[in-house]
Amino acid sequence: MSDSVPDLLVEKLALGELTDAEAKAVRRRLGTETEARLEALAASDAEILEALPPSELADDVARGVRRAEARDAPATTSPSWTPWLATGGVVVAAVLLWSFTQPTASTDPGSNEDRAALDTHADADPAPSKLAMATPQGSGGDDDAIRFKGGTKLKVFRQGASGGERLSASSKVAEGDRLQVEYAAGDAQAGVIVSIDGAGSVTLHFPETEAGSPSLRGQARLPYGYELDAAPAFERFFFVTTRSEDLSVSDVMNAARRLASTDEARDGELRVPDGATQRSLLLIK
Amino acid sequence: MLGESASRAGELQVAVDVESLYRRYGPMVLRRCRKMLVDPQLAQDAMQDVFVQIVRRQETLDDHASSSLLYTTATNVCLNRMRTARRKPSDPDTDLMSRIASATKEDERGEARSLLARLFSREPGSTATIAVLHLCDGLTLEETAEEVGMSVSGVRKRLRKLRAKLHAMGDAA
Repeated sequence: MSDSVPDLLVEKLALGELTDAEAKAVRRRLGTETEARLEALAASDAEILEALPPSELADDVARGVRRAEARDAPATTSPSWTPWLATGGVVVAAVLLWSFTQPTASTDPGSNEDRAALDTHADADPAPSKLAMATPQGSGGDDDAIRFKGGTKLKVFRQGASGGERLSASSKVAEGDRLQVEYAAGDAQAGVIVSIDGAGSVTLHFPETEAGSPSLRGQARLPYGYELDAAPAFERFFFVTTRSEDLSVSDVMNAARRLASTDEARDGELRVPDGATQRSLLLIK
Repeated sequence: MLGESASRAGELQVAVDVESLYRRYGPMVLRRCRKMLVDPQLAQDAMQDVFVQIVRRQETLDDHASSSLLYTTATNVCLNRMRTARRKPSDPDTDLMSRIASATKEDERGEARSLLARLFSREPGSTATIAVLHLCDGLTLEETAEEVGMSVSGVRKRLRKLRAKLHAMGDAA
């Protein structure tokens, strides 16, 4: 009988966070097991706090916060991949950079030239263009991208066995490839990075959760790498940004889910919130 | 506990007393993470992430009613970790869907994993949280709505859509 009582309610009962009526109801549902459940929680509490004392956890959290803040802090000197290589301790085999001027915008009043650019997605046209990669593979650097209006950039690193490889739009990728994403906010205040694949799956890359803040901070590397799975055909990244802080992560995710479920997932546009701009990159599998 | 700029984390100029918060809610958060992620180390890492998020968001916490926020944050953190892990088939121990599936019917884990992946792949992340709270944890619609800050009708609508999708998938199979 007590198995049907959700853990959260028992936790709240133990914490004293239920109203009298709620507590009575939970105790009634737990029946004769009430005290045993509460004692089990108390014992578990003691065990956990002994194994990981509050002072240690606080230190861990403090370090975690510092790491997160350092990670999100704007880069001030060398290209972003340099400190990443230095501090990450990993060999980065590839660097993918794409930077668009004024890409697809639902309401952003771009110029005619910008609008023309919208019609020629970098991910639909692998040839170098003002929308596509800023620099040829292996040459130049991030500085080449700053000429683009707004300065908003997204970079994807692919880890490989040797050296660096810069991917371009329509680059070939395969199951097992390990990718890492980095962005430069430019003049954008908020952004969401999401990808869809040929199986219709949607993955949120930034922020970490739909409940997270989409606020962008200068230039930052995302904390997680991604290993491509067996999804067929393609992997497509979107970077949706706004010049204000007002951007709903859920709206962007919902737009990505809608697009992912259509036949236009490979080259269609997200129905982004008003005032948002989107950039996309297609990787071919 | 709240609005204080004390404790060891005070070096970070945060408003949350991490030690006090952890002492009161840490075990609950860790148990939640263990249940969802199974792996003890992953669970502990996720628990730490929960507190890092709370500190960074400078949450305004109620001294005696923060369990919902921490529980939901833990659920979201774990779901996100499972979603990330789902993209790493070479690391099945961290596969989110297998965790959820193994928490339901062990003998149908593979089938359930595939089904869940398709079921949730195009749904808002909050729908997964709702499903976990209601279908896995056993919270009522009212309790689920309260935890996620939605109306009961909103929660019911999400679940109804999910069930319809599930039935459609069943019909198509």
